[in-house]
Amino acid sequence: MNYIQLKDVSKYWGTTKAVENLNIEIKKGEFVIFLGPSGCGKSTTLRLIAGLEEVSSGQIEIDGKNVNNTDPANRNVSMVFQSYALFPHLNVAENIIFGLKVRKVEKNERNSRLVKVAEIVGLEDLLKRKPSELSGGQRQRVALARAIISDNPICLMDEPLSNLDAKLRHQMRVEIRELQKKLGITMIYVTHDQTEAMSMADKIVLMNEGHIVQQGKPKELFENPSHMFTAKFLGNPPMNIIETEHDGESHFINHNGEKIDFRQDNKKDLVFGLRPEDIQVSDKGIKCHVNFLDYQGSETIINTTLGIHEINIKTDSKKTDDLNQEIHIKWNTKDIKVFEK
Amino acid sequence: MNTKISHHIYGWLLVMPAVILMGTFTHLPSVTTLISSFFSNETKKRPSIFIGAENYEYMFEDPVFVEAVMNNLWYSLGTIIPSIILAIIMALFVNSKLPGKTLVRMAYFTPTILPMIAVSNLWLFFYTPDIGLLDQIGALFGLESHNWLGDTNTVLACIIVITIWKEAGFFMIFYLAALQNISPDLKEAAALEGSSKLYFFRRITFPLLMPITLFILINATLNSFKLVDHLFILTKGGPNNASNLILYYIYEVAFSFFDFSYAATITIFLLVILAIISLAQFVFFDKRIHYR
Repeated sequence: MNYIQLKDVSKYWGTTKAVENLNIEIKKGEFVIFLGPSGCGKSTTLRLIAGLEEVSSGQIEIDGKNVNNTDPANRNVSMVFQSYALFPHLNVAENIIFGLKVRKVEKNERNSRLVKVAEIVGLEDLLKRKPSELSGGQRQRVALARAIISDNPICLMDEPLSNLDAKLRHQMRVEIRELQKKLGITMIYVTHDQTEAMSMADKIVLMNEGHIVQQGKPKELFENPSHMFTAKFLGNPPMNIIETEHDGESHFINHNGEKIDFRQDNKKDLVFGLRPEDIQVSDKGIKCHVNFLDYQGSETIINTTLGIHEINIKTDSKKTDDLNQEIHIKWNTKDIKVFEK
Repeated sequence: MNTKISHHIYGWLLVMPAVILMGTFTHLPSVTTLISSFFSNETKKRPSIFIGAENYEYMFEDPVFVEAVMNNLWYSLGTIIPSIILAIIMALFVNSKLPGKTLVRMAYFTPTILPMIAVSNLWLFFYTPDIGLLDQIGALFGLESHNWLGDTNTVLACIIVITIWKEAGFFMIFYLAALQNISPDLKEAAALEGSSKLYFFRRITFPLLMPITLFILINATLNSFKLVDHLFILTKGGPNNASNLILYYIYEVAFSFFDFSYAATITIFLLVILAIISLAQFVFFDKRIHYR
């Protein structure tokens, strides 16, 4: 049974399309990530679910009920904003219990819930501080605490980690994931960071230009991209896209005057993808010229030219020490991904 | 030369222009005023002599002065709070999604750019008995003609209305700037928690506007003692001193009655009052205001 469901949801700003014909199904307790480049409509979708924007057409259902005309406050959702949206003149405790006060929750219960939530997010000693006296990570925790104290079953997060430094981001990633599992919250999380999406999500909804490109488990998207966009967006560095020539029976690459068979297929209009980690440097194989090396610690990206394409190869840094200007590369044909043009 | 001394000289040279200007045109006159308030008025026959606090004793017994102080108190009360409330309401209004809001903003701000004398002439046309706008509208509903500025019961209220009309638009601009500084995320975060608009205003918007409110409160208070231009055109403090305010009375004493030392005495009184008000506002509000 789907807990949150978007049916043919579209949103237009005047005549400009923000998102179009979205169909998303989210199960209870699932961690779903809306992933995509800037301006793809992922934040708009989140705001549509929160009720901060009205849908132009289509239906949003939460727990089986159509919420198109329901107030944000009555949709059982909490939200963490990218800016955290903390009230600057209220201290941490007042910020966290703001919603409980609005809902006129009794003082004793308010305090006991505050103590509990403050412990969960580790803010016990900072309750009297003002937001301006907190670090970025601590502010993030306050926003998180404000979202979970309401006991809403759904939590929406709009790029919550984008203002934190890399180390803190990793730590918060782990904490948010643990918290979500522990409390059984259904989480919808917006990000443009594919690493974040890969490591946290139960399900990724990949979006581009207001449409859903592909949705599924991170592993599915990574291993079986249905569109070239998915292939190019996921993975670091992204998948190598290779266009070939076709002689009626098979696809081949013209590499330094040499004809290299790439794949047998009668279909002409195909494009191929090959992950950088699926190409190996070996003693034998196709001879290529190394353009440059991109050292990334344990791994090194070798940039080389195959036919007319610059391609990346991901290798163990230890193996690149005695690399020549000329290398030989090979790959397994089963790793080749096929896309229609 | 010793570098330490030359540093001192540089420092003094740098502050000198400001010191000279402030000293000559602000501090020196204040001190002279204070001194002359302890002397009798100089006439052709009698030279000025030291009379101690006699001027001050007279001041508190002077019925016109007491009436001017009381009038000023009502004038302050009547202008400060209403103009601030009006300014906030107007700012909230023109900050919302409103067709033609630039035009409305401009309209609200227009009274501010008009000189007070021009404003007075405008309102004189409203208040004039029989042919004035107020009476003409009143006549439509069968009301009798009323001499708004000639009645001791209504004249102060009329002056107060003009001042509010003149000031509120100016204060609105400050509130509008402050409102636009408040992140829209806060409103959305509160909306998700189910906060009503009124609750949001009371708990979030208004407290965040507090620094501006303090600024405006001080300005409005100072204005209520400073703004008397319209009295010259409309009432000259009358009838029967019913619209006489402290500053206007100082002008009368000095330049109609030519009693300069008594005028100096009232000036010192006004200075002390204003200093106390400013100090009290800073001390009182500083603890309650969140500065970002």
